[in-house]
Amino acid sequence: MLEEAFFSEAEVRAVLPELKSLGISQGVLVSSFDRTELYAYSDQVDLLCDSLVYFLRKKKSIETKVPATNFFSMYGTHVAEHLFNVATGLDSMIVGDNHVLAQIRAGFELARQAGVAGPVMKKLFDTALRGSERACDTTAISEGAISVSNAAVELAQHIFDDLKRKTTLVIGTGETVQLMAQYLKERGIGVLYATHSTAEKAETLANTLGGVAIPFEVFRDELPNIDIVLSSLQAAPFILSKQDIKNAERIRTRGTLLLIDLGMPHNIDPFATELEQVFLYDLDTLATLVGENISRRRAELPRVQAIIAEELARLERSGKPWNLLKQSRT
Amino acid sequence: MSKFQQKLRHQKGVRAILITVLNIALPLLYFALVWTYGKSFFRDLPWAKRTRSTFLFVVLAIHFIFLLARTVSFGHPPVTSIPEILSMLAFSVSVTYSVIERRSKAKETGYFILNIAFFFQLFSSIFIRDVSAVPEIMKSVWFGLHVSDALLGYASITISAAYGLLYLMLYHEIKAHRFGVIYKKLPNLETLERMNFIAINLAFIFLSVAIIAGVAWLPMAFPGHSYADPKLIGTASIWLMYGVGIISRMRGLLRGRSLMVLSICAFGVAAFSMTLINLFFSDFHRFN
Repeated sequence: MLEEAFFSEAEVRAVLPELKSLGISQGVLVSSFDRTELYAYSDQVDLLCDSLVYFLRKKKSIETKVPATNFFSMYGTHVAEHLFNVATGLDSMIVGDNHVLAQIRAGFELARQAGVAGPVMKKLFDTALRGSERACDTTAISEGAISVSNAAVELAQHIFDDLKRKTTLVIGTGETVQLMAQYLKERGIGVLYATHSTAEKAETLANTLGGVAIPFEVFRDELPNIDIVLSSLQAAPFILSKQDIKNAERIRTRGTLLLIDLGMPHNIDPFATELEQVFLYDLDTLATLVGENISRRRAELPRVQAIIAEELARLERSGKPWNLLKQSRT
Repeated sequence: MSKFQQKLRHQKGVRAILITVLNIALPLLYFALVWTYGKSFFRDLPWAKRTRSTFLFVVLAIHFIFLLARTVSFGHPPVTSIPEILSMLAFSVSVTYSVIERRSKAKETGYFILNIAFFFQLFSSIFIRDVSAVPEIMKSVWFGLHVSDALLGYASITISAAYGLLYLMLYHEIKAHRFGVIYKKLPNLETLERMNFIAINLAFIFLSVAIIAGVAWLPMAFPGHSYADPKLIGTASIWLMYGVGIISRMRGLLRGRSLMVLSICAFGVAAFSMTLINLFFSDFHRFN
C-alpha cells in the first residue's frame, strides 16, 4: 500500500502547482517508498485534511485500493513535531534510520522550484533539517550498522585501517554476501575476488561486483593474500578448515584475517577462531552487533527528543503563524 | 647597583614569578586538556573534537616555556631531582603523543595517554623545589641532552605499552563478539598497532641519541669510568630489544597481538631493570 501511494519526482512536479487550487498557499510533498506526506499551510481556516487525502488518492488512482482510513492527519505544531521526528529518524522502522532526509530535502527543493514553498514552509523545513543535523552531530542516534550487511563492513572498519589496501574474497552467490561485497566496494575496498563451485556463477558474480573470478579448486591458495572472506555456500563439509587457514597463516604477512560465514550449514570451521590473527563471524554474531547498535540508538532517544523540544520552542518563538498554531489548525 | 644589574634583578624576579605561576597552572592545564579529550572520546562533543589538538599544542608551548624558564633561572636543565624529572616526563609523554597523533591522524586515544602526563605533572608541581646549587656535572649541556633524550625514550616506551594495552582490549572485544565502549570509541586495530609502532620507533631513536650522548660525555664527566656499568648495559639491552622488535615487525615476523604483548613485556622489563639497577647497582649515575 505504501508503494501504491509513492509519488515519483515527475509526479510530484505535476501535483505541486495544483495545490493552490485546493486552497493551499504553501505546500511540500515528501514521498518515498515507506511514506508519502503532504505538508500544507493555508489561510483558509476551514480547509479540511480530508479533501487533501482525497486529492492524493485520486492523483494516484488508488481510491479503491487504499482506503482513506490508511491516511492520518495532523494540525498545528504537531505537524512540526512529526516532521522533526521523521528528519531525526525517530519515526523510522529502525530508530535513527534517517535515509528519508534526502527525500525531505528533495521534496522541499521541488516545492521551492514550483513556487509553492513559502516562508512558513521554509521556516518549518529549515528548522527540521537543523534539528536533524544537531541530532546527528551531538548524539549517536544514527550511528552503527542496523543491517547484517552493513554490520560486516562496520566490523571490517574496526579492524582494518585503509580498506583500499585490502583484498576480499567472496565465496558463493548469496544475496546478503553480495550486498556486503557491494557495501565494501562503496567504501573503496581494494581488490575483490569471487569464486563459486560452478565456474559460470563465479564469472557472473565477479562481473556483478566488478571483481576477478578465481577457480574454486585453487581459492585456498590465495588465502595468504586475502584480508576478508565472505562466504555463503550451501555446502558440507567445511570448505575452509582450521588447517587450511593455519597453512595460509604460515606464509601470510598481511596481518589480520576477517572471516564472515553466512553459509547454512557453516562453510568455515568454527575452530578457526582459535587462531591468533583470525576473527570469525557468522549471522548470529553479526545480528548481535546490529542489536547492540539498535540498543545504543534507543538510548539516545531522550537526548534527541530534547533537541526536538528545543527546536519546537524556537519555532513557536519565531513569530506568526507558529506562535498561533499550538492549539489551532493550519 | 648599576642599571644593568637592576635590569638583571628585575628579570630574575619576573622569571621567578613566571615559574611559580606556571608551576601552579600546568597541572590545571593538563587536567583541562584531559577533560577536553575525555569529552570528545566519551561524549563526541563537536567543540571538544575541534579544539583538543590546538589545546594540546598550547599546553606543550606553555610547558616548554616553564622548563626553559627553570633552566635559565637555576642554571641547569630541570632533570636534577625526581619532581623535575616527573615534569620532564610529563612533557615527554605529551610531545611523543602529539607526534603520534599527527602521524597517525587518530585523536581518540589522547584521553588515556595524557592522563599519564597529568599525573606526572601533578606530582611534580606538588613536590618540586627550586634548587640552584647542584653538582657542576649537572650543568653540562651533554648532561641535559643525555637525560632529556633518555626521558623521551622511556616516555615513548611507556606510550607504546599503553597502545599495546589498548590494542589488546579492543582485540579481545572483537574476538569475544562484544561491542561496548571500547569497540565503539577506540581507533581500529591496525591504527592502534601503527601508533604502537610509531612509539617504539621514537623510543629507539631517542634512546639512540641518549646512549650516544652519554657515551660521548662519559669520559669527560667521569674520567677512567668503565663502559661495563650496569646501567649502561641495562640501557643498551633495552635499546637492543626494541631494535630487534622493530626489525621483526618490518619483516612481518611479528604482527598484531604478539607484537603488542611483546611491547608490554618489553616495557615491564625496561621498568623493572631500570628500577633494580638504580636501586642496587649503578654508582656513577648517582649525581646527588
